[in-house]
Amino acid sequence: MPLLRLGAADPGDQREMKHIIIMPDLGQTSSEAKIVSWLKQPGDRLAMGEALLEVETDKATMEVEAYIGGFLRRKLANEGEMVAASNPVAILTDTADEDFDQDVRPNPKSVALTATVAREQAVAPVAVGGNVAAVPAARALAKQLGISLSKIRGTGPQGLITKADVEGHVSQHENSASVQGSLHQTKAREAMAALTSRSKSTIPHFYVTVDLDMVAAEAWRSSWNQNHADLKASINDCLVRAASAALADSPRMNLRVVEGKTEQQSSADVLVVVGVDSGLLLISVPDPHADLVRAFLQRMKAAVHSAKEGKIPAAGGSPLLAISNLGMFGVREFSAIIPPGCNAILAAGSVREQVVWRDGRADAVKVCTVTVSADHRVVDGIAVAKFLERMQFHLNSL
Amino acid sequence: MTLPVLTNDQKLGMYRKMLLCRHFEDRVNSLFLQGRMPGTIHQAQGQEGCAVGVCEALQQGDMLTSTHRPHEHAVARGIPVKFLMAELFAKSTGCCRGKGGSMHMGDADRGMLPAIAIVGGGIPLATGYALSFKYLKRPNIAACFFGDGAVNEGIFHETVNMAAIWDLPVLFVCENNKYGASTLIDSVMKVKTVGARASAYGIPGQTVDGNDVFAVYQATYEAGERARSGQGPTLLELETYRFAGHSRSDPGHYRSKEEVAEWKAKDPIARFETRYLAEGLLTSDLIASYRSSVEQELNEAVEFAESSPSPMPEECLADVYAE
Repeated sequence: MPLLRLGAADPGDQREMKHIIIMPDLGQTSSEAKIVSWLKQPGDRLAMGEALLEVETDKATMEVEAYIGGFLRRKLANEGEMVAASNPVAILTDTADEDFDQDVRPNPKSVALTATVAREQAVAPVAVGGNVAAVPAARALAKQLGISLSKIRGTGPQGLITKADVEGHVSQHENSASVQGSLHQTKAREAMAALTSRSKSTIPHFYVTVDLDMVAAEAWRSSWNQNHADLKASINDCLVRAASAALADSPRMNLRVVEGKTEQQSSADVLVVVGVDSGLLLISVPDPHADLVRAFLQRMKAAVHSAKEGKIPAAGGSPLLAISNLGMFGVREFSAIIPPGCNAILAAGSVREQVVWRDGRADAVKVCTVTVSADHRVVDGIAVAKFLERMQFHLNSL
Repeated sequence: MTLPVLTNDQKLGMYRKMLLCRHFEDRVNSLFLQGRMPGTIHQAQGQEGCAVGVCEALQQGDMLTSTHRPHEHAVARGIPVKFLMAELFAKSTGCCRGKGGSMHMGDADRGMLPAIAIVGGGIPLATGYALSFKYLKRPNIAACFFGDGAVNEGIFHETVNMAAIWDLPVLFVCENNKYGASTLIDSVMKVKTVGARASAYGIPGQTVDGNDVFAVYQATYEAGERARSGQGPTLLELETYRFAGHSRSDPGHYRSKEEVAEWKAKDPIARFETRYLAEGLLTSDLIASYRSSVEQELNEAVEFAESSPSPMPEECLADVYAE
């Protein structure tokens, strides 16, 4: 933040030796933030404007600076804790070892507290007409996990359901119908059984198989990986990105059917199937083709990493296309079952070298056999074939 | 055209204005972190050269429009900081009687329309003012600040073209701080400079070092003289940088630490100090006394704001419709 702060920037009451640092109102749609890490420890000295802690809002991870210099004496919240805006997070004192009282009420001049409460009440009416009040992140997570919000008790203002409420509900109710990393092994298998039987018995699947030419994609990947040892791209990354770009070109593949009505989805989100110890986890990756390559790869790495750590990755997007890849196990080809909520799933085998006869001579090429399982109530074979054509195009121009 | 020679008093006046802008923004940030001020904010630390250089070349009766990042424009235009601070506290003594807030700073009676947060929104309003000045044969000009994010809006093209064909006395001032929120200008504009766009409209265009307050002043003054003498509009591009994120919700992770450091080294206030300490116009004592005087002014502004009454519900519709 700003460089020049030589003047005394209004420390408030000069006699006061103790300063309460609060959680600022940093969010766009929610006024609480999670403490990611403390950048200072009790006893450390801070200059005015120096970063004290790192927090995660609904939008970004960012640093909170001290509005005044001093010594950090007490941390009032732990890493990983959600803190609502205006609530105290730390006590600073002017000197390193002075006594201070433990009263943690923030500055009496604080107006944010009442403003925040008023705003939350304004945007978070209690259930009306069967709708349940929930913050967007909670809504997205519940949808991803297939949990009904009406079963969750909200702890926010007027019963508003937060993301933490959904996570809490999941850990308490392990028999929820979802495929989720933290579930017990047998429960996960039961959930998987329920989901796949429902899908296979209610969705009219049909299958389209092609050999994708991977020569250009592999050339791109090896050149990228040579220059970016810290952020390598996998074949799966290439497939996810190309599929998303192809989906953006294929509106007929990206239709959502809601209560008999068809809606066009504008974002090209992809649901990536990740294998974890307890089974499979489905990660929603919003619009993977829309980012620059670096940002996309970072996003994929972070999502897969948190999935493998057993955390529920940040939700977002509402994918209609899933991708499952068994190529790393040497599988040549397979077909997959469409996850509920999706129109199609693309199953990818390994990239293999093969010789083809082309223009009167033998050529060595690399191919990947993919099979798209699609829901015939929503899409037809021509739409899938055209989508695969576009996917080949995007693989050639990664 | 000869540029009037700036007296030492004028130079120091511009310096104090830049300091007041910077300290105003820093104070607002501090109040925000203390929870004393409601709402989010878009801050302009680093862009003082633009605000002060342009406003110094405007005269009484000229009209300025601004953006979602208007605090420094309002300070530089000379609206007393206590009225600006009271507006941020949503108090009835604020420049918009507490009903506008951060993104609507301004006071038409003091030569600045309350700012418009819609990207590019001020451009047609300033041009409308210019049309009225020309129609009424008044010697004034209008100027509009907008960011690099606005130059690809349709309204920019339509308005600049219209002002050009009618030779309207308006200055189009683009503060190019490289990012429209998080979008790098180079990724959404093929030409290298915004100033180069002027040739498409047949008007003068100039790209200026926005962190050199005198370069900004000179370019604005010259463009202003052309406008006042009936020679029509000018497009000025001021190259600058905001030290903070787009808003308080934005940590600015899309910019590298090296890039931020590079621009902080071009801080317009530090540059002024370095130059005039060397030339002897400034001394470190003088700098300290300027800083403490702007701090004092801000202390009084905060006290004024916090002790002012809130607007009453019955005032809700006052000032909403023209009478």
